[in-house]
Amino acid sequence: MPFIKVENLVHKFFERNNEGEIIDEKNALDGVDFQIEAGQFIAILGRNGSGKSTLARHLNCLLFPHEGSIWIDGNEVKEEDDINIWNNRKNIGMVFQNPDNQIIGTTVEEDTAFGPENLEFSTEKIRDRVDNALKMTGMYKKMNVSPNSLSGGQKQRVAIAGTLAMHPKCIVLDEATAMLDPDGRKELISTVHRLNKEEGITIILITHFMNEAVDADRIFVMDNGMVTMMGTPKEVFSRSDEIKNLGLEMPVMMNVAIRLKNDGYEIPVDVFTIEKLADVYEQLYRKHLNGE
Amino acid sequence: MLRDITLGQYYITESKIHSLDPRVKLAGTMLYVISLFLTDGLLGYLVGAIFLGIIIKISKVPFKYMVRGLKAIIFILIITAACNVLFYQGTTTIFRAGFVKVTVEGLEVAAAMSIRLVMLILGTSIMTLTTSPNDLTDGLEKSLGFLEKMKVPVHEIALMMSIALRFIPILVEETNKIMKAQTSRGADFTSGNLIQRVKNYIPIIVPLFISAFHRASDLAMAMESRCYRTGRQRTKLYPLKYEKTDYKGYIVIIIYFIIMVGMKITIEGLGVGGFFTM
Ligand SMILES: Nc1ncnc2c1ncn2[C@@H]1O[C@H](COP(=O)(O)OP(=O)(O)OP(=O)(O)O)[C@@H](O)[C@H]1O
Ligand SMILES: [Mg+2]
Repeated sequence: MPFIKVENLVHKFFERNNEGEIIDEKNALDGVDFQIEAGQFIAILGRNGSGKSTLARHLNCLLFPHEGSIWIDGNEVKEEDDINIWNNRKNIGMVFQNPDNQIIGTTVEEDTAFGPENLEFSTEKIRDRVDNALKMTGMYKKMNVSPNSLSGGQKQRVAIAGTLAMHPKCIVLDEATAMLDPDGRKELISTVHRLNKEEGITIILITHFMNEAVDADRIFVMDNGMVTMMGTPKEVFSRSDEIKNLGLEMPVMMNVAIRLKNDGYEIPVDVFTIEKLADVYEQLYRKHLNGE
Repeated sequence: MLRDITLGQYYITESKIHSLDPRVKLAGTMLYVISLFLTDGLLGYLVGAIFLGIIIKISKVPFKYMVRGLKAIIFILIITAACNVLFYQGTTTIFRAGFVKVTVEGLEVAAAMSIRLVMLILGTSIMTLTTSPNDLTDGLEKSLGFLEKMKVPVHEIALMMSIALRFIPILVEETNKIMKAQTSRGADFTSGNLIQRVKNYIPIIVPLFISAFHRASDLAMAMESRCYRTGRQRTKLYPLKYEKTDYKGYIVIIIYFIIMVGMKITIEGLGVGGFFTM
């Protein structure tokens, strides 16, 4: 059994007039199917309004399916089953886009403690969870600081610590890097990768930045409420025409690689990073020196 | 920077008063306020002032810092004092001009009122100066916990207060941003009559409210995703727990209160309550 299984998921948003009658409806999710194994790193891409956030909210039981079903850790999500819902919220942490709007506490440690306090842990257990979570995200030293005095990247790491303190099996990041500067973004992405590798936490990273997706195990591309492409970064980004049609950019390095390829050079398809490109270029140059 | 402003007027230092349980400070402040309204004799004020002086000394909050809080009310103070002096219907007239009559009783009342007001402000600000806003909400939540039985959502209100405390600096900053943005579009907040000026603020209020509602809905979602449920008991990282010093604190404040009440019923009962006549 996969860790997360989504089958034919449909979610509608209704538009109502002043009398409360439904005048329009729109399928924000229109038959989504996928499975995620525990410990994987998944990146979800897709243009604005393609349904990424709506999907993410289903995984955390903030929204419920109108059709289809979701299975998390072997249990089907049901709106009436409170215990199952709280379990899912504990097991699947969410980090949202705006760093300011998800920090509840007036100090870093107090915010990190919010989840464990809701789970009614003892004071000692809360302390333990908070300390560990802050250490894992590198925010331990800032424990007593007001969140208002942190940088965006630091705030997002506090948000991650807040979910970590509940010992989640999976963390969903819904465009969590969108409002950060490049340094903050790097910081956050490397933290997430570390948690994935060292703690085995499943990561679902929703992003508009292609270079954040290239290191994922698998990429889902969404469009119009459906998952239209699925595969390893290599598989997905080798279909560059489709990617562009879905309103997405190719990773910058791949664009360079593709140009070189079009000029007749022999280039592998998975040149995602500048380092890789440098390697490839060096090889080409060697070949050139050897007189080809 | 704006974001670093401390809210309320919490003065950060370490002292016996700072480390006292907020519930003790709340109860103490309340008893102190009541005691001020009980007394109207010089001796009573003297005891009250000495007690306050000692507490201020222990709290390590510089007196200058405390007096700052008084500046805001100095105007009210002068007006009330003046009214009392000029219009109090006393019998022992000192000075008279037209319908204005200055009497000994009037002076007495004015002095008593001013002293009471000053001591009231100083006494209550000792609490806000030595208790972080967080501890204060915690203390209120615990002290008012009995209201929970009457279906008053004390816990939720306390949480609302602490969230409000977190968001005030953010919203202040946002107001400034919007104001600058509107100013750069030619909005004018400084000229015109009162009604015009109020009207000018509409382009600020509207976006501010929209953004605040957005934040509120985001925050509600973030709280739910972290397993928050209303109407449920939550545990605490720092639960309020009485230490030995807290009990001592209670004892001190109760002794003070008994002395004040005692003075009221004995000395003043003997007719030595007058301010100048004592
Ligand atoms: N609360 C809502 N009420 C009505 N329609 C909504 C609501 N939330 C989302 N939608 C609609 O559902 C669709 C999917 O929205 P969603 O927020 O999931 O997209 P997204 O992929 O996260 O986009 P973005 O990249 O902008 O965050 C959009 O067309 C949006 O307009
Ligand atoms: Mg979104």
